Amino acid sequence: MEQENAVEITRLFKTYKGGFAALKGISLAIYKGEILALLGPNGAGKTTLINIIAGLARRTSGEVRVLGKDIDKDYRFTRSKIGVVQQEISLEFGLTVFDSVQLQAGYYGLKDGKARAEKILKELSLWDKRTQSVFTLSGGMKRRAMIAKAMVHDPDILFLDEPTAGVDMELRENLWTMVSHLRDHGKTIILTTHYLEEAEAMADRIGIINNGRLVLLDTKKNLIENNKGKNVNAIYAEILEKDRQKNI
Amino acid sequence: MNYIGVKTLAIKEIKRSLAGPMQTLGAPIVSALMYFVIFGQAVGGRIGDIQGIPYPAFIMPGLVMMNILTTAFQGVGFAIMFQRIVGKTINDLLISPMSYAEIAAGFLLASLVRSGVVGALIFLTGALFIPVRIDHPLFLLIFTTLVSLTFSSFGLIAGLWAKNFEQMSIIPTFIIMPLSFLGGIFYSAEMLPPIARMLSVFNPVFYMMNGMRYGFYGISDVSITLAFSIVFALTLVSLGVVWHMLKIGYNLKS
Repeated sequence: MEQENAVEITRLFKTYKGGFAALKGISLAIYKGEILALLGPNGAGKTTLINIIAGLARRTSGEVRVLGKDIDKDYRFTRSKIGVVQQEISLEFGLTVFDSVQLQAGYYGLKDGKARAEKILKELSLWDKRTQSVFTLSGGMKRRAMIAKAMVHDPDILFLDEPTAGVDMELRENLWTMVSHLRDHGKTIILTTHYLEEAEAMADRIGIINNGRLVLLDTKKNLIENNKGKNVNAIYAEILEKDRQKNI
Repeated sequence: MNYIGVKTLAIKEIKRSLAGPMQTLGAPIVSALMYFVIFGQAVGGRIGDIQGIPYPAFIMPGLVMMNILTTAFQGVGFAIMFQRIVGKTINDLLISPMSYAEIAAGFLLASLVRSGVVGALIFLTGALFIPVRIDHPLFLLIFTTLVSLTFSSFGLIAGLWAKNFEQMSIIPTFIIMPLSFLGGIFYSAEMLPPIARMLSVFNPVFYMMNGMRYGFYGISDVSITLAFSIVFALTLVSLGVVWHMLKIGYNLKS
C-alpha cells in the first residue's frame, strides 16, 4: 500500500546572501505517522531545511508541501499543522511555564488556550512546574517546555531540531519515550540529531544530509540488513566518506 | 483574521511593559514633572503668554507629545529588537499562523495603549500645576492616535533594522529628541528667526506639535489641514514600510 505523505519536498534549493549554498536540490517525501531522523554534520543543511518548512527561512527555489498544501500560499493551514522545537532555547523572559505555553496557544488563534496548556503540561510531566519562571528551569526542563509550546496546538507533524543536545542521558531517554508515544498517537516526527544511537533507537527511516544534499534515505531496517555487521555509526561514517570522495 | 493571535500578542506586550512600571510610567512622569516645574513655573513665569496662552500651559501639549513619541518608539523598538536578537522569541510568532499584518497589529496596538497611558498621565501631571483645557477632544484623540501609530511604526522599523542596542539607542537621542525640541515644544514658530522658521517646515514633529496644540487650545502656527494631512501621510508611509519589512522578513528570515 502506498504511503500517504505528510511533507513533500521537491528540488529545494537555498542559497544564503553571502553565496553559501545550504540546500542543493533536496527532494524528500516524509510519510504520515513515521519518525524520520535526519543525520548530518554541522552545516549540512538540516536546520535550514526545517526552518524553511516552518517559515523561519525563505527558500531560493523548489516546492514544499505540507499535507498537500504549499507552505507559502497556504501558510495558515500548513503552520497550524506543524510544531517546531528549535535547536536554540527560546522562551519568553519573565513568563511562567504555564503562561509561556498558553501564549503560544494564543498565537495559533486557539480559544481554549488554558485547557490546552494544562493538558500538554500534564502530558509532559511539567504540571508541577507550571508556576515556575521558565528561566529558573533546568536545561532539560527548558527543552521540555519548548516541546510543550510546540505541541500545544496539537500539530500533526512535529519537527525536533537537535532535541537532546546538551541534555543528560536520563532526560534523553525520557524524550525518546515521549517521541515514540507521540508516533503511536499518529503524529509524524522529523528529528535532526548528532546522536546516531538516537536515530537508531527511534527512527523508522534515516536520512543523511551532507553539503546540502540528501545522500541517503532508507528505512532503518534496510540500512542494517544491507550493511550486515555494521552499526549506524559505521554506516554513517562510510556514507559521509563516500560522499566526500565523490565531491573531491 | 486571527483576532485571538493579535489580542494575545498585544496583551503580552502590554503586560511586559507593566512588569517594569517605574521605567515605563514613572520615568516619563518624573521627567515631565521637571519640565513643568522648571520651564513652566520657574522660567515660564517670566515669559508671559504666547498666542494668548500662559507659557506653562503652552508647553504642556508638547510635553505630552514628546512622551508619546518616545514611549511609542522605544516600547515597540526595543521589544522587537530584544525578541529578535536576544531571546529569539520572535520565532514563536513567525512559525505561528499569524500573518505579517497581524503581527504588526499586535505590536502596534500594545504600543498605542502604552503611549496613550503615558500621554494621559503626563496630561494629568500637568493638570496639577496648570489650568488645562481641551478645545477639540475628538480631533485630539484621532491626531494623537496617528502620531502614536507613526512613531510606533518607526520603532518597529528601527527594531527590525538595528543590529545592537547602541544603534537602537542612537535614534531617540540623536533624532527624536532634537526633532521634538526643534519642532516647537517650548516656543511658537513666530518667535523664530526667518531661516529657522523656514527649516521648521521640513520637520515632521513641527506639524505634530501644532496639531496637538490645536487639539488642546485651538491654536496652530500652520494650517491644521496641512498638519493633519502630513501626519496622516506619514502614518500611511510608515505602516507601509513596516508591512513591507515584515513581508520580506527583513532581518527576521534568512
